[in-house]
Amino acid sequence: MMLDRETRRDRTLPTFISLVIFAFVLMTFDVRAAETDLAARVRSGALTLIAPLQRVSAFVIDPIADLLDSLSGLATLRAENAALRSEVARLQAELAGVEDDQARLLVLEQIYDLQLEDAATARTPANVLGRPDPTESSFVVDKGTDQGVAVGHPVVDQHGYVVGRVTEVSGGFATVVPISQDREGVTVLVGGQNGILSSQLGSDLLLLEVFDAVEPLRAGDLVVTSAVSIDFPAGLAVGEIVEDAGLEGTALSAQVSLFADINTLRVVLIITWPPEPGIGDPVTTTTTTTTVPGATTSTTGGEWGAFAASLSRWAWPFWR
Amino acid sequence: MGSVRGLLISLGLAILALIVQATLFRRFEFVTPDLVVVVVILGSLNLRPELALVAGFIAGLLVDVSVGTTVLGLRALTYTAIAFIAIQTRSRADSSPLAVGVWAGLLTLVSVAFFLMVGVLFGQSAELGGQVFRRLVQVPLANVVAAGILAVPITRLYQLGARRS
Repeated sequence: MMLDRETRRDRTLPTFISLVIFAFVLMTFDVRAAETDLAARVRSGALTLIAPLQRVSAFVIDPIADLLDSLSGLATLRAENAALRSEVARLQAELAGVEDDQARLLVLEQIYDLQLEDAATARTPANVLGRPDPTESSFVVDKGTDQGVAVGHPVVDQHGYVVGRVTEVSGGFATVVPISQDREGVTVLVGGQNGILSSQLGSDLLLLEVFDAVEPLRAGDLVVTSAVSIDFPAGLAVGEIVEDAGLEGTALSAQVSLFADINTLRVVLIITWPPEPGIGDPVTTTTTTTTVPGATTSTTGGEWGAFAASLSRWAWPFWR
Repeated sequence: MGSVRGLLISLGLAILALIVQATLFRRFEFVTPDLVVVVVILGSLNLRPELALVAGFIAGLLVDVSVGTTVLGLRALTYTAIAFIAIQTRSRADSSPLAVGVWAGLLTLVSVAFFLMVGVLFGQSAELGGQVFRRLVQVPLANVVAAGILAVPITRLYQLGARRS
C-alpha cells in the first residue's frame, strides 16, 4: 500500500511538469503563430461545437431569467412608466422642431445642389448567446459566415454605441471582443481632434491619447469613431470623457467611459464594414447611427431590421 | 477513482459548467462563479492525481478555445497548476461542505492571481484589463458558495461512476 502511494506520488509530479511544458509550448506557439490561421481554425471549430449547446441552454434559461427580472422590477415599473410618458412627450415636442429643421435643410440642399456621399452599410442583428468565462467580456453571438459576418466586422449595441469587433467566426456563430478588451486601439474623434483609444490593465475605463492636440478636453465630451479609422465607420458613438484633460505640450491623454454596457447586452448589430457588395445577405440596410437609450428590441429577423431602421430614422436628429 | 470513466465524468462536468456559466451567470452581474475551476478542484478530491491533472488541463483548454481572446493554453496551464495545488492540499478539506467551499475559494483566488500574472507575462494585459476586482473578489467568493453546494452531489456522481466501473 505504501509502495503504491509512493509510485503514484512519483507519477504526479512528472505528469504535472509534462503538462506545464506542453501548456507553455502551446502558448508560445499561439503567440508566435498569431499571423497564421491554425489557432483561428481550432477556435472556430470549438465555437462550432460549443455554440449550439449554448444556444439550447440560452433558449431554456433566458425566459426564466427574464421572468425573475420582471418580478424583481415590478415595484419600480409604475414610477418608470410615468417618467417614460413625460420623456416621450418631451421628445415628441423636440421631434416636431427637428422635423422643421430637416425640411429647411432639404430645401437648402436642393438650392445649393449638395450631393452627400451615401455610404450604405449593412447591419445584421444578432442575439448574444453566452460568455464562456464570466470575467471575460468577449461573447458569442448567433450569426456567422452564413449571414455574411466576417472577422473584423464592427459590432454596435441596439442604441448604435460601439461594442467591439468580430474576432472568430464559424458558419452560424461568431465571437465578439469588446474594444475594452481589444489589444488594437480604435481611432476616434473628440472635440475635432483625432486620437487613439485603447484598453488599460485593471480598469474598465479606456485611455484616449491625442498626439497632435490643439485644445484641452472637458468631462462629458463625446467620443465618436473617426473617419480615418479603418476598422469602424465614422461617427459611431463610443463614449465620453470622464474628467477634464489638459494639454501636455502637443499631446494629451484622458479617461473615457464606454456608452455600451457590455455586461448586459442581449442583442447586437454587426456592421458589414468596409461595405462589400455580395457578402452574405444581411437583414437590414441603413446609413445612420442609432442612439435611443431605453429602446425596446425584439430579435426576429426582418421585423427587427425594419424596427431598427425606423429607430435610426427617428433618433438621428436627436443624436446630431 | 482510478478509471478513465472518472476522467470522462470530469470532462462532462466541465462542459456542463462552461455552458451554464456562459448562459445563466452572464445574466447576473454580481453572481459570477467560475464553475469550471470548481469542477477541476472537486475533481482533484475524487480522481487519481494524474487524471485530476489531465482533467484540469483539458478543462482549461476547453475554456481557452471557447473564450477566444486570451492566448491558447493560458487557462490550461492555470487549471493544471490549481489541480496540482489542490492535490497537494486536499487533506485540508475534510468532508464538511463548508470546509470544501472555503478551500475551493482560496484555490480560486490563487488561480485568478496566477492567471493574471502569467497572462501579463505573455502580453495579455489588454485582454485581461478591467474587471480585476470582480476576478479577485467576486469570483472566489462565489466559488466558496458554489463549491459548498456542489461538493456533495459531484462526489456522489464520481462514487456512482466508480461503482459502475
